[in-house]
Amino acid sequence: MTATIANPAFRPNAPGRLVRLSFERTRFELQTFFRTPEQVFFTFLLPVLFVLIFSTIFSGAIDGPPGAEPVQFAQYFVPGMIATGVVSATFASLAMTVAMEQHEGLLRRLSGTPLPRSAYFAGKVGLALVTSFLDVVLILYNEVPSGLKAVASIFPLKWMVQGFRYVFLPEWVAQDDYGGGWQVEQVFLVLFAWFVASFLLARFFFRWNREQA
Amino acid sequence: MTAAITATGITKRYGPVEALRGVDLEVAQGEVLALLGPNGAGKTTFVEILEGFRQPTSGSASVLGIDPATGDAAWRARLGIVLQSAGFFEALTPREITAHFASFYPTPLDVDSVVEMVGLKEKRDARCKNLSGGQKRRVDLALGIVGNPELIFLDEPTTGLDPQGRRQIWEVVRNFTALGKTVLLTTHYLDEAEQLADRVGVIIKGRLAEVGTPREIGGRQRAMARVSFSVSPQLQGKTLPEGLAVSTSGGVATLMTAEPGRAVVALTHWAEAQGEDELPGLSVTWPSLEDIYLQMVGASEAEGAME
Ligand SMILES: Nc1ncnc2c1ncn2[C@@H]1O[C@H](COP(=O)(O)OP(=O)(O)O)[C@@H](O)[C@H]1O
Ligand SMILES: [Mg+2]
Repeated sequence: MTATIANPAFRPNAPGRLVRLSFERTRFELQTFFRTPEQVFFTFLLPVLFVLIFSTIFSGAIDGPPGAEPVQFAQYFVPGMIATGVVSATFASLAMTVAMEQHEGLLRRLSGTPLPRSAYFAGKVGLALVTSFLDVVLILYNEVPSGLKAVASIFPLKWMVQGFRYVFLPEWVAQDDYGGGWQVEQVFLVLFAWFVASFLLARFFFRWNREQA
Repeated sequence: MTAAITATGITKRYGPVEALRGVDLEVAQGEVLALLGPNGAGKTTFVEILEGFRQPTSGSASVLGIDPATGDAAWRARLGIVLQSAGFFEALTPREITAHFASFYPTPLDVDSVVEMVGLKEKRDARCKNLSGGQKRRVDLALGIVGNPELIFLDEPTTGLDPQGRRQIWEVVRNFTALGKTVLLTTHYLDEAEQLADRVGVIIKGRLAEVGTPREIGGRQRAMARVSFSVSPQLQGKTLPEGLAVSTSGGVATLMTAEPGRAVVALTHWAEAQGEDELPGLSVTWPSLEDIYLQMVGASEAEGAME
C-alpha cells in the first residue's frame, strides 16, 4: 500500500509554472483556432474582404486644407477596418469561445485539473494578441488595391450602395461618382441576379450538419 | 490506514428533488469501490460532490484529507476525474489533448504509453470529432489517468461501449489499481462491479442501501440457496423428509435453505427410499448479485409506489 503524501515540491502557483502553462495554453488555443475554419474565416477573411470591397467602391478622396495631401477614402477606411478586425478577434471571439466552452462542458473538464485559471485566461489573451496582430498585417497588406473596381462591381455591396444612394442623394452625386445617371435598371438586374444565384447555391450546398458537406 | 475518501451524512437537494438523503461512505486507500445504482439514484451527484464540482446541502466530505469544496490546484493534481459526460476538443487528436493535459501535472505519465494503454494507438492522430463514442470515452480515460493521480473518479466509464471496449477499460483500471491507487467508480453494470470492485455500494433513491464485498452484498438473501429437482412419478405424493418443505410448480419442486448440502443429502436418501437412485434434475443455485440488486431496486420501487 502506498502512503498518500502530497508532492511537496509541487507549487501550483510558482511563477515559472504559470508562465509555462500560459504559453502552453496559447499554443493549444492557436492550434484549436487554426483547425476551426469558421473562426479563421470570420476573424481574418471577413475584415480583409470588407477592406477590399469598401476601398474599391468608395473611390475618391477627402480634400484637406490647402497645401495638404488629400486623403484617399480607401486609406480613410483602413483604421476603422483594423479596429473592427481587432474587436472581432478579441472581444467577440473571446467572449464567444468562453461561452461555448462553458456550454460544451470543456470548462468543467479543465476545472477538474490543476490548470490555474490565470493560465487559462492568459491563453485566451495570447490567442487574441496573435490573431489580431495577423489581422492588422493582413488588412494593411491588402490596402488600396487599385484597379479592382471591376472585381468589386461583381459583389452586390457596390450595387446596394448605389441603389441607396439613388434614394438618398441628389442627382449631381451620380454625375460625379458614376459618370452620369444612377443606372437604376442595372442595380435592379444585378441584385436580382445575386438573389437568384445565392438562393440556388444555398439550396444545393446547404447541409443540416457539417459532416455531410 | 487512512481513508482516501470519507463522506458523512451527505445530502443534496435540487429544489424539491432530494437527490441524496444522507450518504455515509468510507473508501480506503488502494481500494476500488463501485457505486451501483439505477439511473437517477444520485451516483453522479455524490461523485461530483467529492470532486468539488457540487456543494452538498448538508454533510461533510474529505477527499485525500481535504474538503473538496476548498480543494486547490495541488489537491487536484492528485486526482483523476472522468466525468459522466463532458465536451470534447473536437479539432485536436487524442495524442495532442493527452499531451496538453499532461502538462498541467507535476509528475505525469508518459503520453504515448497512456494513449496506447487506453487502446487508442491506431487513432492517436485522428481528429476527435471523427472518433466513435467508445473511442471518445477512451480519450476521457486517458485524460483522467495521465496526471498519475492517487485517486481516480470514474462516472459510468463504460456506459455505451461494446463488450471489447468495456474489457479494455477494465484492464486499464486493473493496471491502475495494481499500483495501489484508489478508485471510486459508478456503474449500472453488475458484472463491472463484480469484476473491478473490492467493495460495492448499492445506491438507490439517494440512499446507500448496502455496502460490502460483491459476495457479501445482499446478506441474508444471499445466504439462502435454491435447491430444486424434478418431481418424477415415483416421487409424486410422497412425504418429504423431516424439516424440508418444498413448493412445487410445473413438475419442479423448489426449496430455499441456508444449508443446501444437508438438504441435498437428505433429499438423495429420501429419493433412494422411494426407488429413485438419482434425484432427477437436481440443481443448487445461489442468488447472483444481479438477483439481489434487482430485488433491492424492486423493493424500493414498490415502497416508492406507496409513498
Ligand atoms: N443539476 C441538477 N438540477 C436538478 N436536478 C438534478 C441535477 N442533477 C441531478 N438532478 C436530479 O437528481 C437525481 C439524481 O441524479 P444523478 O445524480 O445524476 O443520478 P445518477 O448519476 O445516479 O443517474 C435525479 O433525480 C436528477 O434528475
Ligand atoms: Mg450519473
